[in-house]
Amino acid sequence: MTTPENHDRAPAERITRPEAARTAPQRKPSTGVPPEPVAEPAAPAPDPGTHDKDVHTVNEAVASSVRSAYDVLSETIGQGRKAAEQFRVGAYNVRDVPDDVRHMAANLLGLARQLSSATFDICEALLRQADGMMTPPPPGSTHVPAFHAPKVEPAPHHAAPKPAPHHAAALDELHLHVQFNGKHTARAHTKSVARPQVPTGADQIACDSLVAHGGGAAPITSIAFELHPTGHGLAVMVIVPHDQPKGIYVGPVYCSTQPLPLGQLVIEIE
Amino acid sequence: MAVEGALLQRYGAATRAEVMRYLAAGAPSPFLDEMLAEYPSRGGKMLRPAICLANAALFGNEAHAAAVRAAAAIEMLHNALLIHDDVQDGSELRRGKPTLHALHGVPLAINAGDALLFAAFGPLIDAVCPLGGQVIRQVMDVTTMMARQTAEGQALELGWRDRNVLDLTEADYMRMALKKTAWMGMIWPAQLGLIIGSRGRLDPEMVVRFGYFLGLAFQIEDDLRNLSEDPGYGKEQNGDLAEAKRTLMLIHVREACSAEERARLDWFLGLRREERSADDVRWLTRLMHEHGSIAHARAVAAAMAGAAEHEFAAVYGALPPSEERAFIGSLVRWVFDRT
Repeated sequence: MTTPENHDRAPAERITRPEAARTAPQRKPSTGVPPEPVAEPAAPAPDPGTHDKDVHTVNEAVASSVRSAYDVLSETIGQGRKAAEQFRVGAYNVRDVPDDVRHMAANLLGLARQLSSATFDICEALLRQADGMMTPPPPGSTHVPAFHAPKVEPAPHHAAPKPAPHHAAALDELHLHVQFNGKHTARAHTKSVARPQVPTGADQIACDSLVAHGGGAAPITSIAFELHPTGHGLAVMVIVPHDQPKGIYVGPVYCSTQPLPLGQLVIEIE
Repeated sequence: MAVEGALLQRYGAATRAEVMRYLAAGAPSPFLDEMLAEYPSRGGKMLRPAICLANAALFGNEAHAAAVRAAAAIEMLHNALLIHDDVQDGSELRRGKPTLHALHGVPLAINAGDALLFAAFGPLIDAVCPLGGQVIRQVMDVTTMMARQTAEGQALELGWRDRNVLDLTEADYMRMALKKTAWMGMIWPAQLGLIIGSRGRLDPEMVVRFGYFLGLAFQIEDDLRNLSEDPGYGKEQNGDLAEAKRTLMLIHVREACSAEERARLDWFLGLRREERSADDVRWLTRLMHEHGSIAHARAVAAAMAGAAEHEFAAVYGALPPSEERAFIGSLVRWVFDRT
């Protein structure tokens, strides 16, 4: 018998041995160990400690077994490594990564989502501010404090309709550019409606009909909204039928994202 | 015989208590729960759990409670496989009593084995979940590897016998023993202990070689004992020969014998179990002695034990002396001294 440290010597001894060369693996105990007693099936087990006692002759067959055992182990472990490599690299799946990495990635995704959402909110607010700034405040609407105490003037009897009262208020309004199609001359009395509470597309805004003030005439039902080419406000196209009677027509402007109307669209057909 | 007896007893008691705690959980189900507890309650050496616990203690001892749960999982899984093994081998006795399928029939025994197999994941998951994702991953990796290797080893042994495969080599036998015996019995328990004890900081491959050679020595010695007058554990003498089990001695004798003897041997191996007479078995025993197959197997077993000691020194040699290290080291001698 031998220990793993000895198996490296075996080939050299095989060459220098004076006996006839073997042609097959030596299985019989005639080489180097005494013959096994025949017909002793119940022979007692050897002292297990014998493997670490001095053994002067190397049993070639046993040395070969140990070498073979190491080879088998290397082969098996090698196959396991190869399979593991295939699973981990070849068909990489998120389930293959450790749980804590997966959790970290999920957290990062959540954080990115929150950041994206916040970024879009900021962008929207910026756009709304920019939208407001693009429209210059109407003359006289900017309040400049006087150097001296202002003289109090009596209120006019008939206050003319004022344009947008304040620059900041424009942020909450949606400008309407109303155009008419038809033989009649018409004009819009509504310049703006309230801005929807959430970001909304033009196709979500509608006015079902414009009803004649005082009744009688058929309502105008062909009213289309789309984004104005300038990017500011909405373009409203009203098709006025040929036989539409003159008069004031009024209709609520709805947005599909909220129940309250954004305002009233008032037109006048002359 | 005692392998560092006090430690084995202590570890065995802790594992057994944990196994019973898990098996007792929940309302008992008819035709099932009493069968799950049948084999564990019969005792057993508790060697595998002890290997796990000793390795956990040696390589960090950071999570003793987790290691005990893992040891319980090992024992439950081992018992589940024993139930299935007994069915596959048609065994009638297990730990001195009738096998589960002999008591309750094959279908119920297989069902109980399945249930015990999955029940073993309870303590294993409880053991590793608090230790974090990396440890869970490592434990699942080595467990999956063990399951695959064990099934391959069992398939080899059954396939060789059932398909009467003749041209086997010693390397084939060692491959089978590595997969069937060493991986589940020695390598996996040591790996679980190492991973849990070190909280995943050490490479579980470092204990593979020691477990492999220990398992090889164990398997060869086990096969040799079957040919002795007292094969132990309630088995009949020469039962492996009658079953034409592919042992190292059988592979050796087939290669060493004459052409005439080989022809008779192949005829014998081609018979069905019930057709093999006692005279044929006696002839085969004599042939093995005449051609030195028994002596060769003893020598190889001792050489494997030597290789195991060599690997033990490489892995555990640098650790400070302790009861656990002495226990692991004594396993090599225990392979031959066990009763």
